[in-house]
Amino acid sequence: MPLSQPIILATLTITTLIFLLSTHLVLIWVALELNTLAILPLIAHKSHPRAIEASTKYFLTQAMASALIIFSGTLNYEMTGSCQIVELTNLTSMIVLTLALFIKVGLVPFHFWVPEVLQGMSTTAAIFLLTWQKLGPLIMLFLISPLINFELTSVVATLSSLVAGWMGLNQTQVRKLMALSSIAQMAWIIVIIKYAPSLAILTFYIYSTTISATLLTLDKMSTTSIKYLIISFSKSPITTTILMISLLSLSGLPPLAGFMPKWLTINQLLAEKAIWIALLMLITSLLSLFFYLRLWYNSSSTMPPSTTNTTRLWRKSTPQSNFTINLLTMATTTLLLSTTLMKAITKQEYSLG
Amino acid sequence: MSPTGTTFMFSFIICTIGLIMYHTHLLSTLLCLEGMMLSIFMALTMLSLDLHTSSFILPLTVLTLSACEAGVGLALLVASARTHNTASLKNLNLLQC
Repeated sequence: MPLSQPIILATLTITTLIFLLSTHLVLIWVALELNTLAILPLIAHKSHPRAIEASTKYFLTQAMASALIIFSGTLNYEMTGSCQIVELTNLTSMIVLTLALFIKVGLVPFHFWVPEVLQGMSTTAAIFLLTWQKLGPLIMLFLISPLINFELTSVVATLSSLVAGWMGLNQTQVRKLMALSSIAQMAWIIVIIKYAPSLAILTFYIYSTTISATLLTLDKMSTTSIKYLIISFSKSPITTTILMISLLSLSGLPPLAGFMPKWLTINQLLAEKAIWIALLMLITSLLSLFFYLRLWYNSSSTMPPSTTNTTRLWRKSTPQSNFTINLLTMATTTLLLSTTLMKAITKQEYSLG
Repeated sequence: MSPTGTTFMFSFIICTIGLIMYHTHLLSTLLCLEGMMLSIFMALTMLSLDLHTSSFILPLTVLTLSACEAGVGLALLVASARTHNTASLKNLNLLQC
């Protein structure tokens, strides 16, 4: 669809600008709705049954979430006479708006659409769905973060981390694993959004970079299942190494950029005396570490001493290394320095009082 | 809350429950979505009359976008009828784990 693609991309850009610029609830709702409608052609762009099914599921969940958002706005308008999102003081409309945003980003009680929609679409469009589409709901959460209920967000965050890791344990489809990993990463964003909203945005930024690098690499190697990762090292060692680095960064191991937001989040949670939440987040992230490490193990299991006993995908072309992927992976690795820098700058703020 | 506001809120909640509970046909789900949006449209119209703001831009915006949403929903209904041979929601099961 060469003609409609610029229009779609322009709509996505403009609606995200509206998110960034406005605080009127109806205007933000319009932007959310247009964003949803604009991404649908990207999901359903090849008209086969799985794509149509994915777009139907995506449409139904998102339409219901946006109806709940405008409902909470109307309720607040009736009760307080204000349509500003920062003045959402009515408790019922606050809770409804938070839950609707959780549906939008796919957190745990409402997470079932994320793996299924991702399974039905192409990997490049999945990058849009996992990063760009989540920006709008996160900005709304950022705007209402002083009013948000910490019990609600912390329970949803720990449950998301737990359930996403749990579902990933026996999953072999790589795109579904990426969807579950996105749910687990959103948990780290949600748990801190009440106390340090800017830290949540930083977490989202690093998550977007890393998951874009991972998905681009997987798309380059045309991998859809863990099985095909086994032959990846013999096909393209550099791309496989890049994939490994991105996966470790997603899991948040210290030498990589994914470590920084997790460290700062745990620090902030401890400073707010939410020790049990911090402990639960750390323990449940081990579950997602397990499936990242399984991907890692499978892609490195045919390194030189051992031979591969899987047939090659001869129909697919051998991937070449790509500038965008290299750039993103460099970003995920060299942001390491920023960890120490951030720690040095914010020493007073994040110290254990 | 005024009696009309309560009525519209209840109609919204009933439509939401219908959307959540009924998984028979895609068309009934789309009708529930339309019911949600229409109850919100009417509530906003009544509110604009009550508050004497005489700004009908809010309900009209909501109505316009809900019409767009209904159009997209019907397009998806047609598309899933073409690819799945049926528009029943039970047949949308290709992507489950």
